[in-house]
Amino acid sequence: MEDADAIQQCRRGEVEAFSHLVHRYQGRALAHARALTGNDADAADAAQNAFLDAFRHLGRFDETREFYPWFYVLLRNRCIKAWARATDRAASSEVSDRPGPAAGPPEELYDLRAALDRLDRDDRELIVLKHLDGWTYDELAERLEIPRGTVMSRLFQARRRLKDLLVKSER
Amino acid sequence: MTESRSCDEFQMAAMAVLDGEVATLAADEIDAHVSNCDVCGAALAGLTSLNTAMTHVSFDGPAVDLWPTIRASVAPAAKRQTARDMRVIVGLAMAIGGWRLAQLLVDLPAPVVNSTVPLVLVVLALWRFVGDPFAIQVSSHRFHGDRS
Repeated sequence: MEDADAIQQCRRGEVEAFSHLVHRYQGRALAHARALTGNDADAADAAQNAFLDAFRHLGRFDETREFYPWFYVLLRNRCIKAWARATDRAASSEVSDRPGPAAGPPEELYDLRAALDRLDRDDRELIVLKHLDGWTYDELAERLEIPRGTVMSRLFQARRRLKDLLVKSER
Repeated sequence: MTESRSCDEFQMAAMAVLDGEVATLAADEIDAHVSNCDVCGAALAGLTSLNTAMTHVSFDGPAVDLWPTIRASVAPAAKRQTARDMRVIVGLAMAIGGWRLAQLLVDLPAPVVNSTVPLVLVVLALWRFVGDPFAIQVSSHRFHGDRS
């Protein structure tokens, strides 16, 4: 089934057609959400809520465009909310059964993946979108709504900060 | 300071080239600087090895199937929407029927029968079967896992 067919069926009230979109994109969405929120639980919540947002707003979706870039905006908003909640939790020093995204990983996990988690959210998002999805500078600029020159400089700075974190971890 | 900014500019342009992008500086210019600048050479070697390492990093998210939870949330909402649509149809049918009845039974001036009465009937019918027609509709269903 093509995405456009599934979307049309959803608009006619055929709920099962939405499973096509969920199953096709949930892996990618969860990976993005994990990168943005910094933990699995918030990532799952954010991805689930983003799919529900997508279902509610399918009427606004322009079928001539690709589904995932449109969906990514919804996902990103959900991840930012999750991030804000996690930051609030950390700020109020509440006892939590899971670490917030700002929390440092244990020393033994201090590898590239852990270093990525230590980056701030914007840096991590850029690097993940570039390396996971292979988005071009132009695509990043369009979808993150920032100028292309900013993409280039921010990506460069993000990689440098990541490299610095790795160097520190090797000492 | 100027030299440092200049080096950053060359490194940024070189990274863009490595990413397969159009850089802000010419390739010859970048090569000429990097090959004569130890700082840029070392920085670019480090960033290039980082890029290579990134190709081996797993970006997997949690291994969960979201569909069962999503389905449990959207199916009732879709049913409610269908039921609501049916109530709208019934309400409009009753309004039209009531209007025709008013035209047949009540001896009122034509402007009243043809404009005011149908409007009142439509509003009353919608109110009765759907709820307040002037209320702003807010989605009432929430996802079980939403902790907001």
